[in-house]
Amino acid sequence: MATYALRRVLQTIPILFVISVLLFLMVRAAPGGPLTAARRNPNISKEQIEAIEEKLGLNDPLPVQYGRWLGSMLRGDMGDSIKFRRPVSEMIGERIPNTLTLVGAAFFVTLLLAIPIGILSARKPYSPFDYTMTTITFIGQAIPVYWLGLGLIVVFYVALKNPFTGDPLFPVGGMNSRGQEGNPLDTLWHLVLPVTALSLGWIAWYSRFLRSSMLDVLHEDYIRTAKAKGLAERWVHYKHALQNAILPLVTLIALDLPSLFAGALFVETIFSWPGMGRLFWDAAKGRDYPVLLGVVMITAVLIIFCNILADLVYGWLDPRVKYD
Amino acid sequence: MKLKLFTLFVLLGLVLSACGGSGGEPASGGEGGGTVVLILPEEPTTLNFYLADAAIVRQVADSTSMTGLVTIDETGNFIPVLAEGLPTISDDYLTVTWKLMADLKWSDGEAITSDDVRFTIEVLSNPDSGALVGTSGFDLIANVETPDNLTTVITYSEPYPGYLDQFAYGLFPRHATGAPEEMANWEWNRAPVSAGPFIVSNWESGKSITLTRNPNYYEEGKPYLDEVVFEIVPEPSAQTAMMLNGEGHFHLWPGEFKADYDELLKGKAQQYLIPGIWNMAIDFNLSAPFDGDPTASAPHPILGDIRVRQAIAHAINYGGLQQDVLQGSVGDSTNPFAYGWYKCDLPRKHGFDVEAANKLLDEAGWVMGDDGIRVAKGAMYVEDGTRLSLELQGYTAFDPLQLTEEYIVENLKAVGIEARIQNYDFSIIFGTFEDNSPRAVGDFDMLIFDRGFTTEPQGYNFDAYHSSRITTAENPTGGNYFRWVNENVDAALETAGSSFDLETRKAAYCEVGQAVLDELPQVYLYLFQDNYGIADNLEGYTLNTWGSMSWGIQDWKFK
Repeated sequence: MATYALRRVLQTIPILFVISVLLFLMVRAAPGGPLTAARRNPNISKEQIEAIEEKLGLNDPLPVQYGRWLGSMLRGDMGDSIKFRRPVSEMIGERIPNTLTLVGAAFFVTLLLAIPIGILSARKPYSPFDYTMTTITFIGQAIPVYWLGLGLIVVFYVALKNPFTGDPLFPVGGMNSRGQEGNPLDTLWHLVLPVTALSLGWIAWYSRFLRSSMLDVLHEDYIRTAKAKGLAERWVHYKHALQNAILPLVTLIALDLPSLFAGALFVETIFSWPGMGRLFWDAAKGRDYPVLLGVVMITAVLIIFCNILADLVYGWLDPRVKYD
Repeated sequence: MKLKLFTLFVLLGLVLSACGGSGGEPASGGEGGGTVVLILPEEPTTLNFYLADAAIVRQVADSTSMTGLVTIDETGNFIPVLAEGLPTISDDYLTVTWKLMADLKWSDGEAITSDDVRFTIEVLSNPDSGALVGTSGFDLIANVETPDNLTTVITYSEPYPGYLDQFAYGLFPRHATGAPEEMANWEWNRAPVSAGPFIVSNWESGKSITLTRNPNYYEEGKPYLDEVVFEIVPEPSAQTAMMLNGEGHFHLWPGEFKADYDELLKGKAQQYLIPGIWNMAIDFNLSAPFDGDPTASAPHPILGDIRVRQAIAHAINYGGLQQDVLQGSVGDSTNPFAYGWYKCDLPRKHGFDVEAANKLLDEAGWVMGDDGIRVAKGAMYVEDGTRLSLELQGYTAFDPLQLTEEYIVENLKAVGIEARIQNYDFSIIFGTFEDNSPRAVGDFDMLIFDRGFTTEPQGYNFDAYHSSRITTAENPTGGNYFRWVNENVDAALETAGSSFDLETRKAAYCEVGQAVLDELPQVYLYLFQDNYGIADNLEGYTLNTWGSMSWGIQDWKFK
C-alpha cells in the first residue's frame, strides 16, 4: 500500500508539469490581457499601456514567461497580482478559510441529511417517505442554484421579518454583521441561506446515489443469505448492506472535496461571500494571470491528490481491492 | 414535511439573529453622525487613483486619497481644494504658481507642504512609477521651486492647457509613501495617509472597506458622518434588496431602470441619473476593408458614398432607441462633444426620416431587391448586382449594446439595408494593430461602441480625428479608425491644442463636431448616464459627471 501510494504521488509530478503547461497556455490563449480595459480608458495613452506591459514582462515570448512563472512557483512564490499588486499567496490565503467555512458547512449538512435519506428510501422503497423524498430531491436537482439563492433572499431577507426586532430573518449576504466579526453564532446566521442553496443540490444527488447503490446491494445473494440465517433486518441493513453500498459514495465525496477549496462561484456571488470562486472569477474577467494560474494550479493539485486519496481509502474500506 | 422544514428555518433565523445581531445598525440621524453604507458591485484594486484603470477605484478613493489642489465641480469648473485659490499663470503660460492653504495636515498629523506637491510631481513624472492614469503633462514640467512651505512654482517646457487637471486627483505625502519607482507596491495604496474627509480603518478583501473620519480634515466641522462602509455586493438583486431593507444608502449603478426601481423602493430610495461620459456611436470605415491596405486611399465600396452614410443616419429611429428600447436610461447625443465645458449643442443633421433615406439610396444607385434588400444598379464603387449588405461589429456581453444593435438592424432593414451583427470579445474590438484587431487594421464596415473622454479632451480627439493619426502599419497606435481625412478638422484640432482660451478651444471642437455631422464618419446615437440609487433619508450629496459616487462625501448627512 505504501509503495502504491508513493508510486501514485511520484506519477503526479509529470502530470502536474503537463497540466501547468496546458493551463498556462489556456489562460494566455484567451483573448485580451490585463490591460484591455485600460485600452479604452480615455485617460491612458497607448504608449503608457505598452510601457506597463513591458514592465510586467507581458511582451516576452510565452516560453520565457512560462519559465519565469514555473521557476518562482517551484520556489513557492506564486507572484503578485497584476491588478491588486499584492502577493497571490496572500490573496488566496485570505479566501481559503472563507471557502472552507462555506463549502465545509454545506458538505457537513449534505452528509448529515443525504445519508439517512438515502438509507431510509432504500429500506422502504416506493413507500410514501420514498416518494416524498424522490420528489424533493428531483426538485433539488432541477432548481438552478442561482434561482434558489435569489428565492431564499426574497423570502428570508425581504419578505419575512423578525417580529420582535423588525430585522430580516436572515442576512442578505456577507460573513458577519458589522462589529460582529469573530462571533461564531453570527457567522452561523450568515451561513444558513448560502449553505441551504449550496447543499440542496448535493443532498439530492448524494441521497439518490446512496439509495440506488443500497438497493443494488440489497438484491445481492449475501444479503439474502444473511436474512435467511435469521439476522435482524436492522443488522442486515446497517452492517452488511450499508458498508458495501457506501463505497461508491466515498469516491464521489473524494472527487467533490476539491470544491472545498475551489469555492462555489454562484453561491458566493449571490450571497457576497468572499471565497475562492469569486477570486477566480474576478481574476478570469480581469485576466489577472498570476492569480488565475495560482487558483487553477491549486485546484488541479487538489483534484489529483483527492483522486489518489479516493483510491487509497477505497482500498482500505474494501478488502477486495488489492494494490500491487 | 415541507411546512416543518420552513418552520424550522424561521425558528433558526429568530434564534441566530438574536445571538448574532443584525447587520443593519440604525443609521443614526440628527445633526451629524451615523454610518452610511455604499454598495459596490466589485472590489477596487487599490485606492491610488494613478494606478487604476477602473472606474470602481475612484468610487472609494474620492472619499479619502483623491484630495488634490483642485477638483472639478458638477458644472465642470475647477474649484480649489487644498490650494488657497486657483493658481496664477504667467503671460507666456509657462510658469504656474500654486499656494496651499495654511495649517493643512495629513491624516497622521504631519503638515501638508509644498514639498508634498513637489514629491507628487517627482512620482508622476517618473516613467518607472507604474502610473497608468493622470500622468499627462508631467513630462512637460521642466522645473519645480518651493520658495516656502506653501508655495510651489512650476515651470513648463511648453504651454500645457491641462495644468489644472494635473492636480485634481490627489497629492502624495512624501513621509508616508515610498520611492517613486516603487509606487505600485506602496502600502499607502491600500491604507492611504490622506488629506480627504475619511481614512481607511479596515479593508476586508472581497467583503468591505470601512472608513472613519479624518481627525485632521481641513474643513471645520466636516465630515458630518462618523463612518463610511463600502460593501462589496456582486449580485444586483441582492444590492437592491439591501436598499429595500434600508441596509444600503447609496447604490452604485443599479441594474433596474429608474421607473421600476423607484416603484419597488417607493418611500425608501430613488434612482438618479446624471450624464455620463460614454457616448455611443456607429463608426463607418471610409476605406476599403479587407484589401490589405489600411489607409484611406481606396474608398469603402459601399460606405465610400456619403449618400449611403446619410441614408443610414436617416434610417435610425433615435427617439425609439433612447425611450423605448433603453427606457430613457440614456440621453440624446449628436456629436462627440456631448458634455463638459466643450459641449456643443449641434442639431442632428440627418434625423429619423425613412423617406429621405430611401430617396438617397435610390439616387445612389441602390434599387430594392426581391428579398427587401437593395442591390446595386449604377452605384459608385461596386458592380451592379452587389447586395447592400454590411457587417455591424460590436463587443459581447453588454446588454444595452446588443439591444441597440438589434434595433438598428431592424431600422436599416426597413430601408433595404442588410446589417449583419458580428460581435467580438471586448479585448478583440479594442485590441492592437499587432493583434490584428479588426478596428485597427481596418477589417470592418460599421463598428458600434461607446467612447468617452475627460475634462481635457485634446488627446483623445486629436487621436481620433486628425488625419495624421490614421491607423497603419507605420502608425499602429493611431486612433483615426474611420480613415477620415479633412483639412479643416485637422486645422481646428491644432487650434484647440495650442490655445489656452476655453472659448476659442470650444469653438474649434464644435467645428470638428459639425464636420462629423456633415461628413458622417460616424453617427452618434446616445449618451449613457450614470445611475445611482440613493436612500431618501440621505442629504447633502452632489451628483457630478466628473466625480464618483463618493465625490463631496464630507457634506453628506442623514435627515
